[in-house]
Amino acid sequence: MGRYVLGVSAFYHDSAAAILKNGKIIAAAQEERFTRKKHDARFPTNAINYCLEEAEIDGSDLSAIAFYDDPALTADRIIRSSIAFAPSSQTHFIKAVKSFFGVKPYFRNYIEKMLKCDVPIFHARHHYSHAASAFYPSPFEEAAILCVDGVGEWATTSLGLGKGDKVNILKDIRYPHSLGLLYSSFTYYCGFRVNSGEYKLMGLAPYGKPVYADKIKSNLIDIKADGSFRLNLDYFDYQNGLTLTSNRFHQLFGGSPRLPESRITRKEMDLAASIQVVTEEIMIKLARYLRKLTDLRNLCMAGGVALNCVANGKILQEGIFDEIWIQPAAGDAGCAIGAAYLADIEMLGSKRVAPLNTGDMQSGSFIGPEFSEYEIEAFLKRVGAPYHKLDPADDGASEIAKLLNEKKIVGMFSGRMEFGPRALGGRSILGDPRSAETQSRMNLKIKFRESFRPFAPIVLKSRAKDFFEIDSDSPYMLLVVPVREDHRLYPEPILDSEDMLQIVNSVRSDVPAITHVDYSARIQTVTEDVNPRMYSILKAFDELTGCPLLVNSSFNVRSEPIVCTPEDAFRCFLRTEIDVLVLGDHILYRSDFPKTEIDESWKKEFELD
Amino acid sequence: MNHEHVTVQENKTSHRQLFQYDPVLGYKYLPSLKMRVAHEGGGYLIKTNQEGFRCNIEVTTQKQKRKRILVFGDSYTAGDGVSNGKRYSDVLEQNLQDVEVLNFGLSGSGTDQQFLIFQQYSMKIEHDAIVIGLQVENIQRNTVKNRMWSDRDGQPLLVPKPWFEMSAQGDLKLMGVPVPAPYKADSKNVSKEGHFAILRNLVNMLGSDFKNIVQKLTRYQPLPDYNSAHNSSWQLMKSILTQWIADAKVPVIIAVIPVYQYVQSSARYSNIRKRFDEFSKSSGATVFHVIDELWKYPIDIRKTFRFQNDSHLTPLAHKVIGEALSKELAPIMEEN
Repeated sequence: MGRYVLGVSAFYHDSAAAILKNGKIIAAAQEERFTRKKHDARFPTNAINYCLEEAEIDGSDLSAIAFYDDPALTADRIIRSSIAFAPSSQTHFIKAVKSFFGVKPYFRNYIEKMLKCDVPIFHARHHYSHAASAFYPSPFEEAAILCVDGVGEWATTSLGLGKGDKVNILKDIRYPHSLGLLYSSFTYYCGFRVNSGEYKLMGLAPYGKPVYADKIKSNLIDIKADGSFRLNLDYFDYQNGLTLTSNRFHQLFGGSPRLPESRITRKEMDLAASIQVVTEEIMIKLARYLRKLTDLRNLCMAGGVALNCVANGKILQEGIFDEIWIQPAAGDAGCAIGAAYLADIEMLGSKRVAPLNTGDMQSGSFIGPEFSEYEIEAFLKRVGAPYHKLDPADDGASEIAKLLNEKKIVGMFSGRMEFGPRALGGRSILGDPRSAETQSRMNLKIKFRESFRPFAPIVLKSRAKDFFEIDSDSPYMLLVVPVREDHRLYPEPILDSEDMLQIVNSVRSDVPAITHVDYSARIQTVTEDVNPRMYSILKAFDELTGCPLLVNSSFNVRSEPIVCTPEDAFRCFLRTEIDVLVLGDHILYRSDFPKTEIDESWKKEFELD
Repeated sequence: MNHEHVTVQENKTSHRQLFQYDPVLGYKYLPSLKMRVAHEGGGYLIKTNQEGFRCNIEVTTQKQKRKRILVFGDSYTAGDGVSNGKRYSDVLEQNLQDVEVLNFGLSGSGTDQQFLIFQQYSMKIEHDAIVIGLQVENIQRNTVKNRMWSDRDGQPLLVPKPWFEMSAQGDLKLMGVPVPAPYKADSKNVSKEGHFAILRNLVNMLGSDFKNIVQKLTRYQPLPDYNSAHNSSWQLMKSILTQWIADAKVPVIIAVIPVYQYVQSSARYSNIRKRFDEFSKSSGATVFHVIDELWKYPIDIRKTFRFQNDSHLTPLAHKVIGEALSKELAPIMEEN
């Protein structure tokens, strides 16, 4: 029996569980994948159950369980900040008390009720959990650590370092001054859902001009040379009430927040561009200061803001650090990993395990559930779906490449599910990047989401430089880099600057489906050792077409968590216009199914984001 | 009790599918499965081998260095509620030297289906002894042609099974094979029990404590099938066991596993004992009354031999049964 440590994050958003065996991550998953409720914040019963399943143990076999934050410190923050902003903070206080004191302090009770065992419980501090999730699985022996999020206990931004077995936070910026909450305020104001719509805002930014950047800097935030900042709280309401922004914020930007689902105008595009520029400025300044503070060559990052891959790309381009490693589950879900590491090292006195040959300890983030061919076949037989077996000689790579070359959209369900918000080839929808129609077809007929949202390329690492301006690896799709000049095309200027469809449909490169309006791409590089199946498909597609990349989008419809099981994948296939579904070694062709109306029941099932 | 309407749940509590259709047995576990089921006991791990049994050992034609015991039974043997490694078959293996124990238990099965499993494997693989973990309710499962399950969405599902019929000469004839695939139950075939079913569901809803009180007050005797040696269900059970023992080329132990009403002494076990003792005398089979081991413990402990809501055996009960069985089997294994 080995040494098992379970890490849990829960009760705010993106609940998750992770498990270490003898200091190595063997499993991690987000609760939403099992419950099918996006960003599920409930106690992660299913994710914990899965982690124990992967470890083949019962709860009583655990050496320790770690929770990702310290409820006492969070309580301290809620009480103190409510007093500071009283009496206007009454609404906030009541809401926070209900959601916080109702569940968080009872973590032990939840564990005992579920696992019926008495295992030592360790409460890690929130930003230490982020920092640990960024450093311990990284390939570095020592590194500077930057964590930026909305808020955890008191800290909203932390600067630290990791050396060997130790993680230390050297400086922090505290609530209510928060870059994450500033960005989320604009997410809210632009009519997107907070804690999920931040990606949309980031995707919208290249369509706009940063005309509000100065206004933001002169009114909302005071940025120092070292990247530290203070918000002008007159413009915000999160410390008082139920919304992020105050009327003064609305007046500053000329009116009420955009209504969700209403038309996106030039104003939203420009606001998105402006807050993106400000965010990048702060992140770059923080990174520069951190480099000076630690004098270390490598950087590790985590926290929700570290999912801003455009800002990450800028830090990389600035050359502040030699190498950067970002926790793929940079949000709160990833804290489950960090908390588990902290319990293992600080509570049990274990030593940090050296990284794997793959470069880090995250195993490509393929650390979620896998389904055997027996399970897939039993499911297909149970539902009576027509299927075929793929050629075992190449796992169907040549057949899949052929279909993609025919402009077919392929739902790819293979191997272990990814941990983190990005689909990396295990639960992905693939398409031909050379086709101008791929982006709008995937957005409107398959994902049912806004047409402006860009798609990301998945590319053979060895050929990435041929298409993108990149010198480093990007295995977790967390870096945005420019498309190379020799692949770019320059369309006629669009006369109506608010006609997003026309802007989107303009062909900007010979791989238009993954080229964003500003000639950038959120790149994922693939190597054979980490993802042999996707490597084979890319290789086969390259041999067939001379193009070593594909469009890679997460396997879900809008607002749905990424598929977890063969059943989820099959349901998603039926609800959309995906042409081909690959389930392990099995393939299903749309043409084998009777033509029926597209099932739109998902719209009732999933609350729109 | 009409077992056509006893509900078995395909695990809604897991992201995995546990069973698949089988044309001979009706259903089987999926092969090479690793699955953890959320459960009131803290959850449990199910691992199946390539043949689709909850067995930690892959089935090979020839024994390796160790002697081999084959164990058959239903969910009490397969180990519903208990992880692989902690079931009575596992305890048995841990307590016997140089012996491997292959668990062929199948949840929800009758003795008839267990006998069919034996027929599939007994000729194919070397073995030294057989344990039939005969949960006393199996007598009723032998008489039905299908069982009511709920599917993953909680909808009623009828799962057909094979069954045996007896000729006038007492020979067994296998019926219903190939077994039809499971099908969605509709209102016509879901409930035929009228008010009794409503009453039973109500009692079940109110929890196990209330159920125990009701059963005690009404002096509920769950299995009248054992009351008479001439009962048709018992005659069928006896025929299956007789055939099984005749086909087996090795010693067979019938381990009679009681349900909780007998363990907690709210129902009388005497008729069950009588029937199996008569059978032992007439057939020469070794019958081991598990209840005698469980009764060695005071009632407070005996109450912990089942889960609070799920009546399956707890790890403690498995331990007690496994240790007792190992004492029974040790001399047999030494002799062979």
